[in-house]
Amino acid sequence: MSEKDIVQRIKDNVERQNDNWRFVMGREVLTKKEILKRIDKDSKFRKILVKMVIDLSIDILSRQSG
Amino acid sequence: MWLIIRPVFDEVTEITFNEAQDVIDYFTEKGVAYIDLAKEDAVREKVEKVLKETPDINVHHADHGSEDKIWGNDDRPVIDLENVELLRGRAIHNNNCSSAKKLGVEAWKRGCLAFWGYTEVVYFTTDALEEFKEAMNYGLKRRVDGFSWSDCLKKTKERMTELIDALVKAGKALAASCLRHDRDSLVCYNSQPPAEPSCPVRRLSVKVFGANIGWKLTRKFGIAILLFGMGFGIALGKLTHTFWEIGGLQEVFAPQGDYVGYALMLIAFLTLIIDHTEGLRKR
Repeated sequence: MSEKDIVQRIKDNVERQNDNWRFVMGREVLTKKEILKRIDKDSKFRKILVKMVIDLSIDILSRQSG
Repeated sequence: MWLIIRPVFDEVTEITFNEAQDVIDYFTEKGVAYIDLAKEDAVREKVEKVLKETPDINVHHADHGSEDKIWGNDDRPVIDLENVELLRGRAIHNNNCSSAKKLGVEAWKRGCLAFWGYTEVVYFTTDALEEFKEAMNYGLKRRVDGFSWSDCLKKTKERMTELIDALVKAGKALAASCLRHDRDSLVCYNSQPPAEPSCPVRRLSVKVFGANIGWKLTRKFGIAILLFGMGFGIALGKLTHTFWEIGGLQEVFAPQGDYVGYALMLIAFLTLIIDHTEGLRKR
């Protein structure tokens, strides 16, 4: 799965959230719309999200194999 | 006894305020004494006053944090590198971002009994507030139950892993990703010293003296050692060169009274170093 595919899955997941849903990074509180906008425009933010998802996958996989 | 610091001035601090209420409810249930500095009371002067007047009080902070400070209600830090000395001999449990990165290291160096916190910005999503609240407060609750800080950290990370799996199963993958991120940046400087330093000189210092002393040595100490080594080497080099000019190698290796003087200076210097590092170890 390419980074593009992962980004698309993240966007699909965010789109499924309700309108009151918020993503909080320290002092930054992002709505659904703001996240979807930033994923497209902010490459640093996009990389953070992709890394989070990959790290979670690795975490789950390594615990299953361990 | 615990001091709870819980300002409210934005959307995030409304959440951390409620998370701190969960801690207060647990304290009440378990009969733990506490002082609650909430909202406009959560300011630097009031925090400092309580800490100065109550030597055995520990701290729980629920609000925003930065690498070298934790914030109060009025856009000023309640604890930063200027007054971190107030944490000596106490434990501090942080529900805030990044404060373990610098403030925690400095507090630990100055004799803070336990600094619980995160080395990175804390992430969460609002579809799993209950799970995040449980994760954030779990360690402090286990401490109240009587576990060591080391066990609290271990149990909290285990519980966070269980919550991550539950969130994945519930289809909340982004919440699970956030909690995984938070779990991995959670530290407690008591059961474990701060992670390997990024500065190469500090790394050398930790390697030579061990984490307990190496982290606490100051820059001045390093410079003093360097200057002494250079000065001692130059002076000894000059002296042996003079001996060599007088009588060659035979004169250099002859038992000279000057060497006794240099040896005494070196012994005195090493004694001071040992004395200083022993003092740091006990701190």
